[in-house]
Amino acid sequence: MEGPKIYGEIFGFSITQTIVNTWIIMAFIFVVCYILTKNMQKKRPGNAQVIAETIVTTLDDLVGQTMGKDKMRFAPYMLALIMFLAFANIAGIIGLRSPTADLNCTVGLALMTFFMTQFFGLKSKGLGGYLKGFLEPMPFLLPINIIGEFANPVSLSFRLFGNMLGGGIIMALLYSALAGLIFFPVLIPVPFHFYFDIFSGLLQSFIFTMLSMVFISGAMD
Amino acid sequence: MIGDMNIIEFVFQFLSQFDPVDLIKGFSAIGIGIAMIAGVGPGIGQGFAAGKGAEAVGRNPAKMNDITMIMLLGAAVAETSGIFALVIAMILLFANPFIAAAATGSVWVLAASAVACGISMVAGIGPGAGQGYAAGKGAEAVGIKPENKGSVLRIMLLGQAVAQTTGIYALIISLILMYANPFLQAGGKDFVMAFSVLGAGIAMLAGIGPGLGQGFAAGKGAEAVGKNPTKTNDISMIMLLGAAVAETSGIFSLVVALILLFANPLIGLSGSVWILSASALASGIAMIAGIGPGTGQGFAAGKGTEMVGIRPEVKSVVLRVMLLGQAVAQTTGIYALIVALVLMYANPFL
Repeated sequence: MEGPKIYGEIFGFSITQTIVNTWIIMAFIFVVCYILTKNMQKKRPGNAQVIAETIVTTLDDLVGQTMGKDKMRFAPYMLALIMFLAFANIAGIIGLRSPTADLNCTVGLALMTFFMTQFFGLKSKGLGGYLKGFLEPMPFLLPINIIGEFANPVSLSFRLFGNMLGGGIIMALLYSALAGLIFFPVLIPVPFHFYFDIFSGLLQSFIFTMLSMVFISGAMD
Repeated sequence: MIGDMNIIEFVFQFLSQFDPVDLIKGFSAIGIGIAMIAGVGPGIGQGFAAGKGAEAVGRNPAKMNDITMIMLLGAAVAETSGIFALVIAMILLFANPFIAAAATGSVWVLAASAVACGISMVAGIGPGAGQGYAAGKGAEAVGIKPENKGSVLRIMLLGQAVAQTTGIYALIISLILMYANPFLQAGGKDFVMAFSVLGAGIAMLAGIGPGLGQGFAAGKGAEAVGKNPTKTNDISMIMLLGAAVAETSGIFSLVVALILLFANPLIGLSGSVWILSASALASGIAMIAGIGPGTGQGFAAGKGTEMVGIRPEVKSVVLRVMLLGQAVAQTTGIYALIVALVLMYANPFL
């Protein structure tokens, strides 16, 4: 699997396969959300509405349990994050190169979490409390605490990137090996897709979101 | 002795007959293979988590979903070190920066860098096993008291994130060797540079210790919070404090590796190339000692965390004895650091 293809340039920014696939996923999510939330009713919800409500309440419960009941305002961002990641990681099933198999994408998402952590930590503890937090529990740990803060986005981004890239490379190797054996690969790739794309993809999206929740709520307490 | 050459000259002459790019490719292959040894860690850790998960479900089958979620979550985090090693291996296989630099850089430095990248990633054994232990203890805690699932999850993930740090140091050293290699110019002391690079990679192996120890502490933290969620703050304070002390050996190795790379005192010296090269390599090998203090101090952190969970009122006494004991445990790591520094700055053989 090579790096993402570059399709063109706009204002000095290259339009890569990652960006185009992200647009495709965004459009897909938008359509899904639109269909699920059309014609909502209070008394006799249709199937689509029930699905939408289940998704939202499940995630609300998760945010409430992990971050605390006072931090429910993060629930919309977390839902958007996990939805995007879920569909982005699974994209391998329909032949799209996952946008998350590009370090740029995962670093961008990890930086969002990082900046949210620092910003909300600063906002809820105040400048003094925030700076003092780095001297906790003992002042000589200051460099270790600083390194630890930066280690979090590094491991978040690389974990997701490595999983998706590794899965993608393995699938590419499998298909090229099968192409040598039979005319077109049938059935054999299915369990590999299930493990590398569906299982690993959903698990990693869950992990990324959960870790983001833990980091942000941890910085605010 | 082979003919009238010693073994080192023989090996050197043997290797010199190959095309430089082939040499780099060959040593990259060695580095790739060595990097995958990191898989030992996640394998052990996730296996432990799976076992603990099975046990927890056996005791509390009604809570299978919660237990499985915590187990998978913790196991996926434990996977990270293996993924880091896979990423380095993939880069070396498919986008090898050393082959591209073969035209302008010294072959020996590039080849040694490729191997050192691989050796450095073996540090992932520690975090992999340690985080897996934490995942297992988390699954167990959720099986015993599922209502504390949220707190257990938070402490487990927090502790696991701390345990990941030495793996990240190793990844950073690998990436520096690949993309910001300070020794790329050819000629002169390229053997000293090559062995310095190997020493830097080997030094990062010390990260196995803190990874294991901090993972143990994370597991004990998850267990303690599962039993006593109201005391989460005390428990996490002791856990983080103990884990931070356990980090020291990883920091020492990182410092030695960075000195060898960016402020190498041996390159500028005059003296036998063999002595300089071997001293650089040995500085790195000495730091492997950090595996011990890292693991032991992590064990201390874990037991301290466990005790504070059971009896939070004795926190200060536990803390004092834990820190005292951890300081004693650090001594051999300090000896190793001193020897490494002597080899670099006050080498009696030159």
